[in-house]
Amino acid sequence: MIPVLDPVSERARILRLVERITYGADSGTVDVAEQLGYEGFVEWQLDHEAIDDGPIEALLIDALPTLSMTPEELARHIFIEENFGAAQRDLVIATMIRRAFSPRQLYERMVEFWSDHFNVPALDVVGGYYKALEDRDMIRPLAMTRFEDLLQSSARSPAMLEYLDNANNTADGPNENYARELMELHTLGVDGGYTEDDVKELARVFTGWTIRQPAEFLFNGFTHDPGPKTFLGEEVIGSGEAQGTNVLRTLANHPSTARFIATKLLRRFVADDPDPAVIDDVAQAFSDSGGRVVDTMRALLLHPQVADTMALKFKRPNEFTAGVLRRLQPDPGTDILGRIYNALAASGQVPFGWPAPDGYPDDREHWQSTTGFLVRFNAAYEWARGLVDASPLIRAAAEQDRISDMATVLIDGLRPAGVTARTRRILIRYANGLPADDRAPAMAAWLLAGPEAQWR
Amino acid sequence: MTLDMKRRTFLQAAAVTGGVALAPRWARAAVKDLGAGDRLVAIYLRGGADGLTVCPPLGESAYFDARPTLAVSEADALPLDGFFGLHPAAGGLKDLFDDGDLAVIHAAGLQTAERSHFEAQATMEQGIDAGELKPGDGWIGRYLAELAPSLPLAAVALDQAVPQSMVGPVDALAIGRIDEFEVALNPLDRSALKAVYAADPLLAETANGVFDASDALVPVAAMPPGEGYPQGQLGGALADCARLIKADAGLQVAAINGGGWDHHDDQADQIDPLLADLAGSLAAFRDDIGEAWNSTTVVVMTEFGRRVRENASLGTDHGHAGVMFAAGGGVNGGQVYGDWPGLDPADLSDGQDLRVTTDYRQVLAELLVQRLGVTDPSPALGGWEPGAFRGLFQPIAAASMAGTKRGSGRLR
Repeated sequence: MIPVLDPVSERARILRLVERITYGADSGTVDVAEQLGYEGFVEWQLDHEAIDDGPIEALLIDALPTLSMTPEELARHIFIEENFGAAQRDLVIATMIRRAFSPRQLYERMVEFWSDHFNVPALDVVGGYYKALEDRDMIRPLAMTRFEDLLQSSARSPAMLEYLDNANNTADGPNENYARELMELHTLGVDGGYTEDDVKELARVFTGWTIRQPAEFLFNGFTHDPGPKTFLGEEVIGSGEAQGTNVLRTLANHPSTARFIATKLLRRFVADDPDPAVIDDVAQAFSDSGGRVVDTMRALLLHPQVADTMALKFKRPNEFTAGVLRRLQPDPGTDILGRIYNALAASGQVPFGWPAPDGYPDDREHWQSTTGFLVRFNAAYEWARGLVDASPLIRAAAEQDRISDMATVLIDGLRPAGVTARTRRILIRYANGLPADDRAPAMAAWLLAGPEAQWR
Repeated sequence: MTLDMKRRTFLQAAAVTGGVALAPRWARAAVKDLGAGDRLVAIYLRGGADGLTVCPPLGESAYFDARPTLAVSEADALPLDGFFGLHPAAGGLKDLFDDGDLAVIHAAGLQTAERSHFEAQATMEQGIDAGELKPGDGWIGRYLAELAPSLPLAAVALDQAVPQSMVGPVDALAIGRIDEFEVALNPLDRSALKAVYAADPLLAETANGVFDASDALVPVAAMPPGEGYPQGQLGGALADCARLIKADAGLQVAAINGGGWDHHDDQADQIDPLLADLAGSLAAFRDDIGEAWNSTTVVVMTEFGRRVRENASLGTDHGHAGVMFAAGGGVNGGQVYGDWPGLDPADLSDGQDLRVTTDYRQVLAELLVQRLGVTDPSPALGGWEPGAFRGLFQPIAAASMAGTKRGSGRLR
């Protein structure tokens, strides 16, 4: 990609920051970031509770009834009244609306990060039920707290207990699924220094950790293996549930975990292959703060090397979709919920749709594919044409008499970093061949589908 | 893969091929150059399929001891050779086996045990052994680099993404489902997008691939899917694969993924429909493509088998050796290959899992040489040298090798 701005200018740094920690640099957010400055914008977004997202949450709760049901009500709604897909559908739509429109952008990004990290798919009726509750009652409340809080809650979450089979892990034939992924994917990382014996011992530690219906954690002493266990070379302290609590604390505070989480955060926010020296610095901040998310993210985002690193991340489909919506800013009341769902279903990244426990991939190699581009092109085209009367930006462009003014309005709104003179010339030249009414939506579609819109 | 790595791969490709592989393949001669080798269909069963359920060792009493609830009984199993059977849901595989079109390779897998799904998959897709994993091309990708195919639909993933096995200097197309691959843009939109993408060297080829693929898929999409396929994931993908073959679209390598084989609990109920999908799809695929079956080789692999002893939730945890299949008109089928290591505790890998007696690369090496026309398979397999061939495949007829425009056949 050819940088349009001087890449080390303050404006370029701020635009990159906005693209990194939001779901798309619309002009309004860019204005706010420029007023606050780089550090000010980071601090504003880190203190997410101080940002009012009341209107959006009120709207979602009004429109999507399953979001506010108790576990018992939701169980009745799904299983007895046979609304089998309701929880999953509402959760996906709420998630995308929040990503696209919540002012708590970094917070929503962290919710997504932990949802991937502790991946539980909502691919069947039971999975959808548990996941909807986990998202509301665990991931969202804890996303900006401490890693150990997330880890302890995840280990007791019915969604995770069901998905990785720990609900069926008993002394008379331990199920190793959760124990292995807990170390490989949630904490130490695959090269983090554990052995096959550690997998087996850890599986024994978590025997008896199960679900009380409909959706509560239960430690069942009758199916727990009370014998002594050795884990990472040391005897496990405590007895019963406390053994699990203790090993989770050990794992949360392990240096391999700090490095693993730091690597994944940098991979999500900065580059597919992060610089090892920066990983060290972020891991240090993670350890020094006792795994506090806010302190770790502050260290990451204010790291001088991060601020100056070029935009190297290829957008994942949900980032692309949210970015389109953030820029087109459809009028309130526009019926876009079903469209969002369909767009994501086609994209290969419906939230909570990845079946394996490692979460959706986070690298360009996976997402840059022919079919992936096809879906992006079609989506940009359909959004721009479908919202031609419902997007203030496209309306404003359509009111211009001259094609070049139309291009200016659209570029300012859709690409705050600007586009190359060459791209601008191409837009104008091709739009010239279209009937007047088609020009604004067509140019919008080309900008939304073009190469600059794929990077962040 | 990072920018740097991609660039490095490109430079390596340029160095070994003199840049041939870098030219957009559809910009070169538009005549078909299918090579002399078979069409390869590589099916990957994600999650670690349980070889002891798919292909149970009925002649071994230790099997029934270790699997008191999950063992496939002799009465239910479809007999293969007096010792092994197939799971009753795998009737399609049994038909292929009986017709000599399916070879079973048991106790196969990564030489060094790797019980992480993601590490084991990535390792196998690169054609290396556990512990050697670092960013790099896939084994199919290295084969494609040599093949340097010239048509847009020569190398296709029937999936949303290109699998790691296909990564390499030749960009394979991920086309998902053929009937869903429809470009909503009009010709002017296409031209405008092509023009703006021309300035981004990292993305331009993928963007152009959308339009090239959609044009090339027109005659394929016009062909109705064949009949008899199960409704599952593999059925849909193999039916599309057959359409590419029947439409003569130049397909040389297809990669297909089947998910859902990780059964830590309630394995018996879950594996049944998956096996029915796999077996029914392969049988339908053979019938569907007709004569082309004789020039098609299918390989089916998975990252590991499961632990020998079942767990208390009626499932199995991650193990070591599993089972592989090779199918096609050129397979010496109707046999179960591999030394059976036995299931007595003393015979197990780490005292718990089926031991690997056939490195999975042995199968790929024989496939590359005997059916795909490669003279030295070692570079595609991380430098590994295969053992003496077991005769899994009939060598491609010498006559069909002559007079082709292929290179030396040696992978570099």
